Amino acid sequence: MEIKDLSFQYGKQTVLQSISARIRKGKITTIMGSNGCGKSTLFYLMTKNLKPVSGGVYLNGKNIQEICLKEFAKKVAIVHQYNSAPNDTTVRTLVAYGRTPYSSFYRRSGSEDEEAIDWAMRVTNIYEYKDKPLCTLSGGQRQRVWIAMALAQKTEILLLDEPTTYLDIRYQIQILSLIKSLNKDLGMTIVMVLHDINQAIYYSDEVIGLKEGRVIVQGELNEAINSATLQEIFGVNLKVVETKDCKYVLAV
Amino acid sequence: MKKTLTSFVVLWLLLAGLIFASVNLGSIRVSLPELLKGLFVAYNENVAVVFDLRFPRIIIAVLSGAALAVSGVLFQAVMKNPLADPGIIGISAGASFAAVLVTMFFPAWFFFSPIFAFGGGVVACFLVYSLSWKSGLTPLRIILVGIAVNAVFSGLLEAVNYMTGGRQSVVAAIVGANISMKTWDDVHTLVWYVLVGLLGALAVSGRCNLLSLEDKTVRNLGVNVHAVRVLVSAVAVLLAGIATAVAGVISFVGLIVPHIARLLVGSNHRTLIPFSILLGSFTVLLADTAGRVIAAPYEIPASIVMAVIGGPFFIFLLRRSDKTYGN
Repeated sequence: MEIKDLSFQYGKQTVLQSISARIRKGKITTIMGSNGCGKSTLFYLMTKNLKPVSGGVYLNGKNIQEICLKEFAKKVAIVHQYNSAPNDTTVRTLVAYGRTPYSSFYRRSGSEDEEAIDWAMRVTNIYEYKDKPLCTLSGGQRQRVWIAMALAQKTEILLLDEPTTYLDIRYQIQILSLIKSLNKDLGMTIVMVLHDINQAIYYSDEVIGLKEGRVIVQGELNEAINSATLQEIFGVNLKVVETKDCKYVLAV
Repeated sequence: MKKTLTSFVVLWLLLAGLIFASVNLGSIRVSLPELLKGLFVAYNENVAVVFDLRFPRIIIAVLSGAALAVSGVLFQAVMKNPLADPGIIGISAGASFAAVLVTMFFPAWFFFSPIFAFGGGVVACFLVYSLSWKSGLTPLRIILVGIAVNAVFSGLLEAVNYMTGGRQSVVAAIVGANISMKTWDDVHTLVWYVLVGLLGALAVSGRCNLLSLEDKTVRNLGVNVHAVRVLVSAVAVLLAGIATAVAGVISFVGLIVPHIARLLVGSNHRTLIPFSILLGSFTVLLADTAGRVIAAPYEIPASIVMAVIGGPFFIFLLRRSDKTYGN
């Protein structure tokens, strides 16, 4: 995926100013920035929920504006920050919605769909709850259901908007490890928006740091993140501690 | 699963029993063997009277009940709002106003009045959507705008009724939602439109399920949410419009029936819609039958019975509506 000279504005207020960035295949890329820096807008532009004013997002060299919703859903799966469904919907029913892009009026669901649904539920460890209604699940389990629904789309790219909000720390780590294993074991390209700097550093390979609608840093994590760039992105002075294999930001 | 099946079976039996009871309520009574014999074998004067007077009325109650209930289910799916009812948000009033205008000015086109009613419903629906749209739809704003739209069309309807001195019985019948004088002609008008509408509703039931997710999520499943909304709304308006053109405005059916149906069979539209068809038929027929019995020999229209029961129910739903859609 490639972002080329992308600009966007709400009315007269410019949100993104001609930004460019590259999402490398098979990597985990995290979009970082303070509130109102335009990261949600960027996410919506990358997921075809908004139309750019100029520039575009390209998938395998093709502008995603020219890819129809259905085709796009076969290539890119998205987990939004906030999700809801009727309380009595079962886990399996929800995961099965992930097969929507492959269904049509003439084609009923077949064994390929069944396999994809079962697989998605096993990968996310929710198979044992498959007949339970959504309202009986914990926050962490629900989030895994939404991820399973996206996985059932069988895409190579997965985009997640703040997948750990509303969750306590134990579930946050569970979800992020799951995402990491999707990347490592299945080779999925992952793009996510994260708030927590340390989690972003720990779990991702690449970062895109935004401030006021511009890209401040982007690229390989170790090169991109240091005290100076963090100061520039978030506007606060944070200490960075380096150990043998990881960086930690003292966010206090 | 078992609860769903039981609910279906019990409701079928209740509906069959109610139809038979309704056939037999009044000054003429026929037994079941008499009825079957009179219908299919030999002429029987009593059965013939029942056939001409009570059958059309029963069938119309059944068909319009089904149509209104399903219309309510569809509006609730589209608006993500458990309080949406074609009667309350002005769709039925718009439809009946159009139907009344046609019967007044072009009586010869009477057979097409459902189509005009559909047109009136579309106008009302468009008004409700466009006026309550403010970077998204919020449930409460839809209801408030809907009530205003409803008031305007109901007012116009009453005005027309007064302008004709209440003499045009067709107009009065639609305004008062009186289905006591219905004939087989009315049944023929209604039945095809209702069948098309109900089949349409069954065909979009899968899409209705998707609409219960967040819009962004549905979009990223490769579905054009706006197109689905327009399609489902069109079916809902069609159902409400045709029912209204023949049976008049009957509010609260589209509200009460889907709500009870959800409690019994859950919120999956693939079972919810068929169940609402049965339960809607049952409810309106019950209201109409009760209206015939309560103050016999005088009759209370089904719409009034529904309003008296539906009002308190609406308040009850309003009070607990925040629990209906969870995370």
